[in-house]
Amino acid sequence: MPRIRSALAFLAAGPAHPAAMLLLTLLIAVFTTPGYAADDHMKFVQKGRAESEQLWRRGFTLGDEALDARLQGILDTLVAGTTNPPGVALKVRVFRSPENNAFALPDGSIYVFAGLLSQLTSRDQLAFILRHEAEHALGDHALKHLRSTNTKLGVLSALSVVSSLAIGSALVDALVQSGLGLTAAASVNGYGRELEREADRAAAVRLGPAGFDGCGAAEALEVLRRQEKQPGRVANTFWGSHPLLEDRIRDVRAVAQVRDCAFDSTRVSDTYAPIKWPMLKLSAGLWVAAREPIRAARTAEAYLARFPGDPDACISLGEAYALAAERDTAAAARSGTPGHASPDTLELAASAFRRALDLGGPDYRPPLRGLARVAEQRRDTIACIGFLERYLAGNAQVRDRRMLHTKLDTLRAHVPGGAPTPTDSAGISPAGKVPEQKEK
Amino acid sequence: MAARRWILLAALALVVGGCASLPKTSADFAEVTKRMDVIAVMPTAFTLGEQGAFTGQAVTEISHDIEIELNAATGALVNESRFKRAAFDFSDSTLAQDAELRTAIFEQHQAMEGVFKDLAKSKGKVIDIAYRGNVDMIADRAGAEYLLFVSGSGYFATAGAKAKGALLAALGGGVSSTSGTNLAGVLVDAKTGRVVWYNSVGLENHDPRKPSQLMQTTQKLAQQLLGKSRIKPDTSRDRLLIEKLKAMKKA
Repeated sequence: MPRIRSALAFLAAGPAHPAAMLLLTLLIAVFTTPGYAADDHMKFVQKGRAESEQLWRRGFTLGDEALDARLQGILDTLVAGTTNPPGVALKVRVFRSPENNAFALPDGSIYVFAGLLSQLTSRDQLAFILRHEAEHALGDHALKHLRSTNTKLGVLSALSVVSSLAIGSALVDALVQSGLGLTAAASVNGYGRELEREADRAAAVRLGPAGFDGCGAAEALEVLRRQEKQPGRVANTFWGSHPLLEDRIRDVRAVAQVRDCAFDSTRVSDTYAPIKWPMLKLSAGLWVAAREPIRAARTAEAYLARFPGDPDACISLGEAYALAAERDTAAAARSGTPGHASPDTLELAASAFRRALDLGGPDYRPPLRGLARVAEQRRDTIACIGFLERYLAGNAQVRDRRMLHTKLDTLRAHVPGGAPTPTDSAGISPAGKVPEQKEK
Repeated sequence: MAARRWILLAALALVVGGCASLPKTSADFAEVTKRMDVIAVMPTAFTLGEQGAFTGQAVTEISHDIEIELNAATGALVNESRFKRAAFDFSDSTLAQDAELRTAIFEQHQAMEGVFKDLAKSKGKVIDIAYRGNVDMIADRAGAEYLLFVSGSGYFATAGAKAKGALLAALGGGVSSTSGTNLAGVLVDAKTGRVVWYNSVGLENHDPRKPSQLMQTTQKLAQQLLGKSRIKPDTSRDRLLIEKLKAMKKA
């Protein structure tokens, strides 16, 4: 099995060759041994608990206790009066990822991704997501799914696993390689089409009685549908781990017995706004950290459309553009046309950093670092030095200061004639007032 | 974070760069080691595989136990070397009280992912690879300008798998190892934000559950960076994790 997993990992690391995928599919189907008994419920619960601990230890969980408590309150309302299976304790946490996802582990740990929270627009939608995931834990879906994988659906499920791993995100890749198998399987594949449908229906039915709007079910799925490119129906039959979203939406509408759900994706309910907006802002930063400039820029722009005066979001936007420009420049260099591949993108980055500087006030340092980065990309060493000097002035406890001090020394050594006279190519004088406080 | 992925990428780096190109170092490695003083041993990451049977939570839990052993082994080697080991506590109890530290650790894992991708693309012995994690927080707290990351993966075979392997070996003539440990190490210079040293080793028939064999693998990994170790691996605790795993299976 480790060798098969290693081979899968190679698949996950890059585009998979169809023949290799087929071979692995057969290997999985042939060599995975079922051998699961009724008492394996507790083994799954324990495995889930162990993976939950690892996720926490490795910082995958956001650790915002107030937010977790808010989500837990919704979940507790939804499952009031429910008897948990042995060992299962439903507990919800926010997962530090900008992707649209949520999953449950067999011990009852439910993880909602920051990215998904940033896309929903009401507590009713969130309630559906939480109850859907709770159904997986309460219904022992991990064990049931693995049994079906090893029996009647063996080959198809294996195909699904392979295809999902092959197209999985870097995050899921990392989970697979970390040995967090249940987490990876739950977050990529869910628990198979039948069990996903079952969880959808059970969650949709229970929204109303728990005091939530039954339309939340269809709306949550509609949010996902608008975000995701769906496979074709035939492809989904063979490869899909979930039913098609349009089918799921129709299904939950029917079981929740709701007809007139006028979903306006631009309207955020007042009770959900305190969850949505911070998560949208966080997601912009997470996309930057994941080096996904387009998604980062889109997310930051969405946040700035609502909060145009937020300097941190301007920083995320600037970093997204700066990253995009770096990529363009690198691509141009690879293709044999080195130079400033994207002056327009760089100007967008500079503009975002300048805006952050205006909004954040004189003590707000991060834009200076961003402007230094832009100046460096423009090969304007003198401006770069000026911005870095302001960013680092007073030995402030700013991010990456060790590295940037070294960089500053190197840049100074390359400027003939000693200390530079600022000529700002980015439009802001690098030799402005020195902030005195530490980076926010 | 992604121990196995790191190892896989390290293996890919081996294939691309050739075995002879290990360890890889930055152009200024000699300068760096002259001024290097205090090293912070970052939380290790280890993924355990097993040939033979599904083990529930066992693999995840034992993997963490091995991480603790690996951390201790790495720390002992730094202590033994001419460098100092930064006294920094990454234990669960510390993490529980420090959300900022957990965030920082998440960032380090994410940055290390990028490092291994770049390593996989690198050729030759000299590397120029940026480390895109915020090291200042860790460096401030640890009082260290150099961060040492060690990650690994390993496997062992159950009794059934060993028997099957022996049978297959008898039929096919091949001999497969019953255990193996792969480790990769990366040293980051916080002052330059770059990787200054990287090495990777894989030893067959080294059971990662045995602290003595884990120490041997770590010694081989770190020899070029920390110097030849005189620590004699202690075999007295080799049965502890094996017995624990057995007990977990029975439970």
